Amino acid sequence: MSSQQKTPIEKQEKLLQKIKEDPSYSTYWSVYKQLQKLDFSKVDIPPNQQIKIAVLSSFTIDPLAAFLDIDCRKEKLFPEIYIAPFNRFQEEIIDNKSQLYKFKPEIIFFFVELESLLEENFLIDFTRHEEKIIEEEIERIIVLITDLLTKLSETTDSMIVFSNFVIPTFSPLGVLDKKQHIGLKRFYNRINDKLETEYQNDSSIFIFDFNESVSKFGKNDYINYPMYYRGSLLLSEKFLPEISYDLMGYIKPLKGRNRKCIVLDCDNTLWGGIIGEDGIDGIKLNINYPGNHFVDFQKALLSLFKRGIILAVNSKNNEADALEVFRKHPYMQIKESHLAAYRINWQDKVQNMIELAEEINIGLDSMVFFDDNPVERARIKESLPDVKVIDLPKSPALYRKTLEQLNDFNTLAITKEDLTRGEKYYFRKQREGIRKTVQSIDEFIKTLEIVATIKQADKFALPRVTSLINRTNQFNLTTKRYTEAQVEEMHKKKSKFNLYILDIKDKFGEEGIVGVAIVNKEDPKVWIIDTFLMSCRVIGRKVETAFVTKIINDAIAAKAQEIKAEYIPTKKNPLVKDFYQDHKFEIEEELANGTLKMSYKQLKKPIAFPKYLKVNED
Amino acid sequence: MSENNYEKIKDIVSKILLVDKEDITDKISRTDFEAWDSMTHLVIISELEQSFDIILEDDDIAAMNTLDDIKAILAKYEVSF
Repeated sequence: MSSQQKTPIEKQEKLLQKIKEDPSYSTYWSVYKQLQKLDFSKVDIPPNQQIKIAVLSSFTIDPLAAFLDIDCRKEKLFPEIYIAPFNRFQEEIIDNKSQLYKFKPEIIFFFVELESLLEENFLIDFTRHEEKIIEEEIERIIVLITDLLTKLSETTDSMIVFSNFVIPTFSPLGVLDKKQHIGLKRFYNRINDKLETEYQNDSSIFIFDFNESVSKFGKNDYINYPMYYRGSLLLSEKFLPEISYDLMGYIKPLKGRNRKCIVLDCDNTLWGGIIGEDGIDGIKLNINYPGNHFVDFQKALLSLFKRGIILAVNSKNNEADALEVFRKHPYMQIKESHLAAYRINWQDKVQNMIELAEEINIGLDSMVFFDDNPVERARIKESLPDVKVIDLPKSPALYRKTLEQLNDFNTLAITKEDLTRGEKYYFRKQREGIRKTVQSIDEFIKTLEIVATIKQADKFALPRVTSLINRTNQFNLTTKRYTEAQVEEMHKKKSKFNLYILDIKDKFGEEGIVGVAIVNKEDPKVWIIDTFLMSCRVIGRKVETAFVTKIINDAIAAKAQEIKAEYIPTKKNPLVKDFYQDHKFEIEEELANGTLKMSYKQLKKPIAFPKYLKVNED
Repeated sequence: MSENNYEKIKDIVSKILLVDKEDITDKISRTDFEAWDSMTHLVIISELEQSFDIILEDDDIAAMNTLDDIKAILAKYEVSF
């Protein structure tokens, strides 16, 4: 397709992709310029996706437009931005016919350096001023600003976001600044505090904590001094993306792009370890390291719950195992009563996510998903692009920080109803069976670029093999435990045992050895699968099918006539009850304890491995 | 190394002026390019300063009218070509 035939939306996507690849200042600038040239006049953009933003400032702030524009587009908004000529904010506000008012912005960001409002020489003489002079100057500034903001809010219907003042790091008084009745820093603080109080109950004027935004980034670095003296370009290139991000905290709720619900995975997200393997006593969750990572993360989640954010769970586990943790674990901060809904099962998380949205009755575009597993994250990203999927850092030490840096949960007013929203869902949980068409699992697996290596274990693999044999509970057909010596014994008797290992890697990296199978072929005509197990991390990607296929094909090559296998039920392994039947084994006998004795006799033609997997055999 | 610096300034200028890198010549000039306005000039200056960790002087900024000029001026700041 030539570029002429591309729609403006497609061109925009391509440009935004450039930002992902190289988020530098110059890329932002050039992508922004190119975006402005696209013609969206023939695109039908619904009003809730249009946004008109005006920026008033005492310094040159044009480059901010590039970042705001692109950040809006990433949120599927189509912005129009008006930057008022620098230091003309008073005229723009006072003149009813100004460009600002003609533009009809929905939101106005207003930045003023306090220095530009002060009486000349006020700062130079600061240490000589009597307290009364300082108090009067504070009053004068407050009146000046509130008059401007009053005029602005009377003349427009816009939301007005006024940035507070950056408290300087320098004071001529040095360490004695804090010994004054009103030191230089307190002077700034007083004004900020008064403004905050003034607009606490105002529904259209918001005070943006610019001082804090600058502090997060670093007061030493937020000004590009050479550029400031040259062209009044105050803000440094590296700070612009940060301030734009903070301002999006207002735009998202204004345009309904805020999120209402956090959907959580369990294992290695809410607690350390795997409940199905480690058990309720074995998972990491307490006040000491490393369990404290998870307690702390849960507390942060709970603080959001208490301001009205809905919590839900989407986890691959046995429901009873995971729920036991929510109900009984003493360090669990998030209890079952905090969950609006949960899907704890072995089905595709995409399906679960759709069901959660239906049950809670919110859109997928209101959901944020936390999962430590990059494969699950990729699956949701690909199939449900409306869900915001958090790229959780590998270390749980960074979970809380990651959560607290999100600015997606803002609302512009908070009601009593908001504060208790989370609770009300607990009483209306009900399951509804719904199926929607999503990208098929096969297609998804293809995108993972899985390479499964199935081979006989060498002696270096034996410690890992023994560990898997003794630890794996859920995807384990017989749950037979062997000591390292027993494993070595079987490994040595190559004519009597095949000791298979399954090794997985995908585009996210290496999983390592995740599966073990032991075949007893003492009778070469009748192979017996003694052990067949896999780590639950890789379940659902068809590697289990590849693994059993390899055994069947080896049996055919060795001219065996039958493969016998069994499923021995335990509390932990109902997941694999139908595994052999799903792979065309037949039930020969069912014992009183539920054990299924299975047989596979079609040993003629080798079977193909599942499509979309690359299988290496030795 | 010096080859790299030349490529670096070509990258910056082509990206900011929205011109393909192949079309950038040493003679490309501010007067030929509507897109090279004063704001864009400041963006170029800022990128040059960040990339080479220098602070340019006023006269030098005003004199940067072509890619040739940029090369000559950066040389004064011990950027080698």
